[in-house]
Amino acid sequence: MKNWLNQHALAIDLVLQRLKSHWLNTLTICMVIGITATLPGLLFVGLDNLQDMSRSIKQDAQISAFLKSSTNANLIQRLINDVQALPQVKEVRYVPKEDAIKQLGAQFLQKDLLVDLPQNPLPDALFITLTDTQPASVKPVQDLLQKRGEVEELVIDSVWIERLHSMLVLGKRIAIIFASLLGIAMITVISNTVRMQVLTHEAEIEVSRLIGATHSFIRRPFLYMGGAYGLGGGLIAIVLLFMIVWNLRQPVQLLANNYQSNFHLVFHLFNVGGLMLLTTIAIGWIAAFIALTQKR
Amino acid sequence: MIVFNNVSMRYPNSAHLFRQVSFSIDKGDFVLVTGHSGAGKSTLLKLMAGIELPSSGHILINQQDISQLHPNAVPYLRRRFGLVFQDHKLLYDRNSFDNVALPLSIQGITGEEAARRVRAALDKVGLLNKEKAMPITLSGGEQQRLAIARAVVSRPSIVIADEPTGGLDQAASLEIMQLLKAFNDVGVTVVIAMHDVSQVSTIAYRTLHIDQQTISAMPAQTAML
Repeated sequence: MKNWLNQHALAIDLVLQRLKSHWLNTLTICMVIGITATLPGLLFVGLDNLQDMSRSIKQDAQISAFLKSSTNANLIQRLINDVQALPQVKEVRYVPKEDAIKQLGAQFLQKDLLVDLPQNPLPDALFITLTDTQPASVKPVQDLLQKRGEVEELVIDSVWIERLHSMLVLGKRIAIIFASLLGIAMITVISNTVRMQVLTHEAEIEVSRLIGATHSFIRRPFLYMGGAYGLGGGLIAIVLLFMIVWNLRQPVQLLANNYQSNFHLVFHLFNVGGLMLLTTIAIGWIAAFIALTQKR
Repeated sequence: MIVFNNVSMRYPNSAHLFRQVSFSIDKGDFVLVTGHSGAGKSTLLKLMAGIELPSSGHILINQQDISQLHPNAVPYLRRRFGLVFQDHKLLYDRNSFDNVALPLSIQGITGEEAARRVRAALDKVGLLNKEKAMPITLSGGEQQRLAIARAVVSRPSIVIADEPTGGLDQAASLEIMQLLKAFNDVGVTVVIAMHDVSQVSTIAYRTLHIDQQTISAMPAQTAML
């Protein structure tokens, strides 16, 4: 066990020495990997933020039911009770048309416009908050309201959320395709570099083989080297992403404020950053493995 | 210790180097493998060390048939040998100390224990004062002594040397042979491939002579210069 650990420590030490002795080459390769990883990383950060936003919207998702003007208070109360009885319903808020016109008036400075209206044009409305926006939850509430004659019009807020979800799924798929293509490019770069390293150390490999080195002993430093390139590239990508997000944070917040949203751009270091680091390390290791397999 | 039993060897698309040769080398023997250039001396040594496998027959090292070994076990077999090559096969980007330490690293021996053994090996070959020197700065004889230090640092029971005096002058050749004999005197089996036996000094040795695809074993004799 001690010998095994010694061999790993030795391989790591050897890799660090080699990376240090060719530091400019190391930095160049890490920069290439870092910049290549930043592009899909940026897509994932964007999607991650949109997903966060969609989650927050999901909590406020609701169905708006606008009632016919002929509906009397008893019927409204019965409708509220029936809707509230559904398990998919979290809350039902009733807004009489008198309150609605007051709220509308409060939002506009030109209140005279509303005063001049011959009668209140707004309907009584029920705002139904659902437990979630899954189609299976929306459907029973939608069916109930559509069957009832008191309801003039239904507006289901979850429709556009569903569209957003669909776009997120599509965006994720595009990001994965994009990341895969760039991943192949990274594998090619690292694999080629490791192959060059193998050729440079051919004499050492030959001697080591002759005097009893196992395949693992010979391959280990090169696999670690691939992993190290991935680690270096991943760290550079994280720094670049952090800088880009930091740079975009203020303009995005300003834009969001214009839409009465408190949305702000974030970079989840442990989720997106961690995943990115693991991916680049894995890519480096796989690239080195491919280079060594081709060499054999 | 080393037993060849009806061993034949031929490389693909070429004639046989040996046909059904049999001989044995005992523990503590000092053996010279002789023959003209291209006779198959190096191949014989490679067969002993498991670097090449015979076309047919059996090679036993300490009663273990190396033809039957799983490929993963071959490196562990090679660790029992100390190999010295005619072209030294030193690593020119590492200093003398690191060159000698390589077999120990392969076995996972590092730190103080490795340093102690490397210095002992360098001391044995008279290069302790050159542990930081790069191989390129050493003379041919010194490079070969360094290669011998690397071969013995892991305390092998068999040292195999392929033309260890090739390209060296008489004095340096004598030094190398005396050094190998010194290891033999403490019980290490030494097998050396040589085409010119006149380089051997006052050493008692056995000979395996390769000629016409056969190997003839000659009894122990002492060479005198």
